[in-house]
Amino acid sequence: MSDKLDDLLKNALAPSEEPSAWLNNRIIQIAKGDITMRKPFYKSARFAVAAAAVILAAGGVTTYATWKYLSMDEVARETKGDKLAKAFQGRDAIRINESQTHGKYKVTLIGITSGKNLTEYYMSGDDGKYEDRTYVVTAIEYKDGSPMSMESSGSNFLVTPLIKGEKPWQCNIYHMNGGSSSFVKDGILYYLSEWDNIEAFAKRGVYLGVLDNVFLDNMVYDFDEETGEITQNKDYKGMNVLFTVPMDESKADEAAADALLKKWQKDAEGDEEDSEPLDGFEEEAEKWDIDRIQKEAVLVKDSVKKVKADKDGMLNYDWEWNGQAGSASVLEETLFEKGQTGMSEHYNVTNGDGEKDLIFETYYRNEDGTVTISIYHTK
Amino acid sequence: MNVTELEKCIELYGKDIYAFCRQLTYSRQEAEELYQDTFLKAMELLQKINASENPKSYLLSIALRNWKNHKKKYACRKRIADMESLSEEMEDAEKAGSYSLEEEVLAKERASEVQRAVRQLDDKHRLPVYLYYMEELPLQEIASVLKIPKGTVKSRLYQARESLRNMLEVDEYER
Repeated sequence: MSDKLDDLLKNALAPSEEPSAWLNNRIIQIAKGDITMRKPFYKSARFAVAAAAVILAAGGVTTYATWKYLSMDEVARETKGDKLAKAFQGRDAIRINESQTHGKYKVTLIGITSGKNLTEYYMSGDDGKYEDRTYVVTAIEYKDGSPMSMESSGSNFLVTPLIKGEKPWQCNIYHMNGGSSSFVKDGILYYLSEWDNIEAFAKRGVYLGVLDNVFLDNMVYDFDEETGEITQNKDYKGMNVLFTVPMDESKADEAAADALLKKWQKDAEGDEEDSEPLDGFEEEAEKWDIDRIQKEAVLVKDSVKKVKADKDGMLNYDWEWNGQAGSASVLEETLFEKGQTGMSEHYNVTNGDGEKDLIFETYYRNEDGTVTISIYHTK
Repeated sequence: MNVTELEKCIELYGKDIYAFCRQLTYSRQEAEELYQDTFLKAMELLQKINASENPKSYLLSIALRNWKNHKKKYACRKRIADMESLSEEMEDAEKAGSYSLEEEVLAKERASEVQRAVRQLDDKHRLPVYLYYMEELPLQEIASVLKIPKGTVKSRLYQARESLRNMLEVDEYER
């Protein structure tokens, strides 16, 4: 074996990239429960879009001659192709054209349509293609007229449906198999967003939220537990625009709505549970706690030793039993509450020869501040 | 494990775990997903198994298990990811070229060549290489992460090095 090859491999494989601060921060926020875990699929696209004014003039509709936005079918064509564009021209599409401003932004909800098989370009998930969908077109621009760019803004917004009666942070695009495509044309950022078809909720009420970040926590919108109404939280610092979306009430279906809510809930639980099976070691380890260890596991008498934390608060110790050995450094403050003495509920567990053979390291803080380490093993 | 401990863990081991995820998945997006899942799973599991004697190995084994469980998903994206990875490398090399000396560019190209060669190994040989050379784990730890005997780790590393030596025509680099 050549030392040179070793050096070469070490140098080439040395970790050079770091996870971004954003990513680390996101993990912390998820751990705190501040944001939902599921990440929507986002796709950015840049297209050469024909000038809206020309198309609209060709259409000969005077009302829209001064309309500066692309129409919903134009946005659909550029992001999802002709089939969806046609759907947006059809009778089931609802043209809304309502604008709201917030801070430096102006957001316009252009239109919405829903149905099965409206595009050739499906999103798909673990359970196959998502074919029955609701599509929404929105435009976001700077209020002062300065141009938006993909670089500065493309992935920083969240366009999400919200359902009256459902907590916004528990029922939003992240739960509805949602996604978006976006592009900038003439300084305006267009979003075509999609999620499971929510027409069934037409009678209950549907909102559209637009945020200037991708985290939807419980601070963005207020939820009235009694009425189910969702409103903007006036104290929220970021953009939390909220539209009430007009829906065709003839499409409402209470049973289908309930079924959808159940499905989303089930999917969310599935995500949280994680699909990975516990291996034998973890499965076995899960069956133990500190009480059971003290009652049922066998103490390795020679292993008992007192240690004192070093200047960094670390307990350093070695152990050996039955041909196996370990060396550990454990931060004392992770084991005990402040001022706590006695047995810590925390312990370390490693596998012995078999996956069901466990070795436990336990920690007992004495009155004099030292910690007694004891090793146990399963019978 | 509470949130403060999680933060500490990310600070101490984040870079190493991310590097491993990056190599396993090829694409940045998948690596970020795997990295995120790894720490969240660790937080969940370590509520009981709190004071793991080697948190880094433990985190690596969680990353590995997550990756194995979702391998199908990654595999179907692999082709695109490979392209992405390659273009990122080229981009990096271009960036390097714009401000570095020729020697640095050559070193970077050589590193890319080595990384590509390692990626061509099968998982059985590729994983011990990452854990040994990138994560610098001792053989016993690698055995524990991969759940294989230490002797097997040794022989796989030996075989991997032989393959890499051939692929890289390493005589060129011999002393």
